[in-house]
Amino acid sequence: MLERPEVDETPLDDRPWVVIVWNDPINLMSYVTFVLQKLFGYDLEKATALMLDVHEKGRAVVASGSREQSELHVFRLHEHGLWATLDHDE
Amino acid sequence: MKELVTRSGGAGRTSYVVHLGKDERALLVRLCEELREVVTGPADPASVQRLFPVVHPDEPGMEAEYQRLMRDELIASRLGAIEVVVEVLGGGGRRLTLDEAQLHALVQSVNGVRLVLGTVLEVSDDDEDRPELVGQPEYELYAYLSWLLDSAVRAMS
Repeated sequence: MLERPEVDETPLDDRPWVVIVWNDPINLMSYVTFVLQKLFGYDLEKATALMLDVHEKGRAVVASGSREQSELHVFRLHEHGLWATLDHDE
Repeated sequence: MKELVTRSGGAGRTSYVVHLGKDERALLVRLCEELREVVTGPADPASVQRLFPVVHPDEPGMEAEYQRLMRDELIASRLGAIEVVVEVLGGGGRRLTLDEAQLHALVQSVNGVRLVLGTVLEVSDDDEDRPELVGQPEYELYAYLSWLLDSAVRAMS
C-alpha cells in the first residue's frame, strides 16, 4: 500500500481568517485594553496580555473565524481607531 | 492626577460626570466639528489614513471590495458619534452628566481627533527624545486629549 504524504487539503480560501491588531504610537495602552474587553468580552487579564503583545511584539492576533465574521471584527476595531488588518491563518 | 471623568450612580443606573468647563467643552465641540470635516473630506491625506486603515494589505481585490462595502458605514459611524458629542457638549447645564453610550461616543471621537493630531505631529514611542514637541500647541492639545481619554477609560473600566 502506498503511503500518502500528509498534505493540507483545505482549499486556500477556506482557511480561517485572523484579525491582527498592530502596534501604533498613538493609541493608549489603557484604551487598547478597554476596546479589546468591550468588543470581544475578554477579561482584564486576557485583554492586557493581548495589548502587551501588540505593544512589545508589534502585533497580536485578537480573534479568528470566517471572512465575514473577521471583517465585522475589523470594522468594529476601526470604529474605535485601532489599527487592525486581516490575514489568513497560517 | 485629577480625574476628568468620574462614575456616578448605582447598579443599573450608572452615569458619568465629565468635569469640563465651558471653554473646554467649546474646544471639544470645535475639534469634533473639524473631525467631521476631515471624515467627510478627501481620503488621500496621510492624516486621514489612520481613521480608515487598510484591511487586506496583500489582497488588492478584497481590499477594494471591503472599502466599497464598508467605508461609508465607517464614515456614518464616526459621524454618528460626533453628532452625539456635539449635542451633549453643546447643551447642558453646569454639571455634565453622560450615559454610557454618550461617553462612548465621546471616547471614540476624542480618539479620532488624537489619531489625526498624532499623525500630523508624527508622534512616536520615543517622544522623550523630541523635546521640541513640548510647548507646541498641537502637542499640548494631544496630551490633554490623552488625559481625557485615559480618564474616561478608567471611569468605564
